[in-house]
Amino acid sequence: MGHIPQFTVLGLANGTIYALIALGLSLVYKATRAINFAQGEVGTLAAFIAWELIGRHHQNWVVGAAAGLAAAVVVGYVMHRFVATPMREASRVSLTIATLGVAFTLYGFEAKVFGASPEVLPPPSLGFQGVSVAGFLLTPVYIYAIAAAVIASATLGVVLRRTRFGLGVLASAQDSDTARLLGVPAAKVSAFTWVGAAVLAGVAGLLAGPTQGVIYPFFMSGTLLFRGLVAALVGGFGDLPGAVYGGLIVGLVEAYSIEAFVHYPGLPEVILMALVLGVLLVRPRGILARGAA
Amino acid sequence: MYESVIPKAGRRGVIAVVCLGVLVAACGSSSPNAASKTHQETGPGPSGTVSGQATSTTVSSSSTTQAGGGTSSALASGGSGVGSSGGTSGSNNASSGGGSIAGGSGSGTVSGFHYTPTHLWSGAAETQGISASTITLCMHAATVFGEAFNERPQDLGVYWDWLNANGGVIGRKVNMTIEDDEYTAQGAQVAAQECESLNPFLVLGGIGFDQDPVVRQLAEQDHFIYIYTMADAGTGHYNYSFTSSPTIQQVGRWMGQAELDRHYPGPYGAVYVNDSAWVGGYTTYKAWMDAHGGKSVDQNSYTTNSGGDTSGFQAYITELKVAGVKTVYLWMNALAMDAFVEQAANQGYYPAYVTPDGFNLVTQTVGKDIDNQSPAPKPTLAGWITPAFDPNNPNVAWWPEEQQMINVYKQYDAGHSPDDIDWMTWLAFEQVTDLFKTCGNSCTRDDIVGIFHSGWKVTTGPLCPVDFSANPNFGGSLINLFSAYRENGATVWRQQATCQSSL
Repeated sequence: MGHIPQFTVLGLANGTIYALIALGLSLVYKATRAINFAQGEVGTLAAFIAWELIGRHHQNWVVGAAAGLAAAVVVGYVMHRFVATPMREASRVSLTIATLGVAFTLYGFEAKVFGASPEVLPPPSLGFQGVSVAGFLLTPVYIYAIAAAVIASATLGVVLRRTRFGLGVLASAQDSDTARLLGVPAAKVSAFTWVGAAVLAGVAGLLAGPTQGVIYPFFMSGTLLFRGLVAALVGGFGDLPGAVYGGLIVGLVEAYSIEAFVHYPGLPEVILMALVLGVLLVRPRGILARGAA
Repeated sequence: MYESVIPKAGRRGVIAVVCLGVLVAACGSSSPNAASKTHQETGPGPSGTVSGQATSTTVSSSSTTQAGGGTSSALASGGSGVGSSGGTSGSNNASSGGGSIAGGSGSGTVSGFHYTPTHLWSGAAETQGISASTITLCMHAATVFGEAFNERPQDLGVYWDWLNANGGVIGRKVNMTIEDDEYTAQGAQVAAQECESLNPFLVLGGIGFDQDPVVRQLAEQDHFIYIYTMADAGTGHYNYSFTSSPTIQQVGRWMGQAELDRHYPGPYGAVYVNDSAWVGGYTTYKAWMDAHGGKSVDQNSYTTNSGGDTSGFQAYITELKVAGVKTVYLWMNALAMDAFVEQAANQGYYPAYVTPDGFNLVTQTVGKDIDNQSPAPKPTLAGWITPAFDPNNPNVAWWPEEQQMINVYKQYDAGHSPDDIDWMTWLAFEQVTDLFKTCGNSCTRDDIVGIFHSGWKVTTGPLCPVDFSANPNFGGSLINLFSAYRENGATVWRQQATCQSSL
């Protein structure tokens, strides 16, 4: 345990990416009470689209990232229009399973179009190598991740709590029928929810790719979605500030457990599961929820 | 044509093929108390022309099979003797397709070999997979990763196209089927069973330290001939499995030698797969380091759960960086290694790397981080069983053979720029061809096993000589050493030592 400062920074840096994923999961859950298992794969798709342009066609990183995010927006809208809307009256379990279907559809698409081979998604550049914090080099990709998490959570907070539309979203989450009767545009709320979550997934995918070294079909779903789910659970599903805190907590717990048990691969994942169990037992509505179980 | 013929045969596939070839390359002494055969092989040398009969390769109906076809007017003396072995003694002066295989691989090296067929099969089983006109081979390889190596399926078939168009080998054309092993042990088992269902003459194994031991076990259980690439030593004794590559234990020790003898700076560290199929390549490395001044490896070693496991890299890189480790031994599959190097660069960490995986994946994907111009204190050092593909360097001894292969690719696969994957594949298939030449026209499965058990010795082109006389299962005891260099905007391997038993 001799490198606590470095692993603290590493944990917080990774935690911002987990927070982005958890934010998307919580946003969808808040509005629909369903868990979006496609969140990870939307991020993978965005990363692959960006790689296609940046890595294969040597386009500027911003161009590739924009294309990746555009693809995420399209997928988000498709999920709203062709999954969530037709299943408005279906059980939430059914909708959750439908998102699983979307995830595997995207996986198949990625494997078919981009192949199963791992690819290197170049990191974004800031014109310098990075900033050393407590002995850990915060490279541009981490700086972008931190900025993205801050901007995303702040934007969501402002939109949801300071605008009529956002309040409508929250009202729909509480009681969608009543909200509809009061004039809240259900279709727009749904579109905002799914597209917003998809954008968050896309941003996470673009930033997670370089930190993971390579991207490949299912890379987000296979590793990072789990941490995002843990973060959302720790923060309280549907609690947006909780998702951010949850992401940072997961990042730190993971980093410290890796540092402590670095010679025991797989143990950090077990510790994360123990964290989930502990939170569910002690504070089942999340760490920020008022009142314990 | 190959798009409909061979499934995605990726770099792994190629490598596997190469390794197969290497494996095939060894066998020497004969057993005195059994019926024996002597095969006299003659043929053109490595500088032969590429031309020959333009017989087009026939593609079988299988979507995964590249068939040599059955018409074969050029296949001269071929298969008349099939099935006649099993105790037949005397001289078997077979020719290799009437000598029409122009530009063959150092053909004189297989001449006069004296071997004793085994008696592992009887009846039709003895000649399974070989007919008067064709030889059926099947290979498992990680074709799913073909794109990662800039290798299309049709690129892998060029050697057989060329060989079949020029008469095949021992008078037969070769049907090669490639099954995707998905680069996993489980996938390899399934792929090998798919191969078995085709009743091939041989099953070949591509590169894959996770895959080959599993199939080796299956071969011993199901009694099929398995020629594979580099793997751990296993039990050390097999009836049906053969490799002309060194074991991973040997390679681990060599890399430790090379690292210290070439003054790669400490502190030293390692990231390795802690799995029975892999760990031998670390323990011998560590033992060498411990004994020769590299003890820092002890406190800077980290493990993964499988060849492709990348989950701990971020933390390991942080640990290594904080500890000031300057040279890192990477012992994992090439794709994971690729991820490690890339991720380390993204975390601002540029150590020197040492790895036994000296083929082009690393060079092609993360070249800027491993060559002699990166911030690393030394360029990446690697060992491998085939010589470095360095076609712009006419000073290497194997330059003519490289050019020959390039010319064949121009003729048969003009859209593809051959690389070191093609080079490895080419040489591996040449070694397989040499095995058949050694076996002769009346080749059976018992003959093939007999060749290995009789201590086959062969030198195929620029491949290191192999010798199965000391151990009928393991014929390789030599290695090449490469270093990464920047040249004309690209990173290439430059050979530092050739076919050494000690680095």
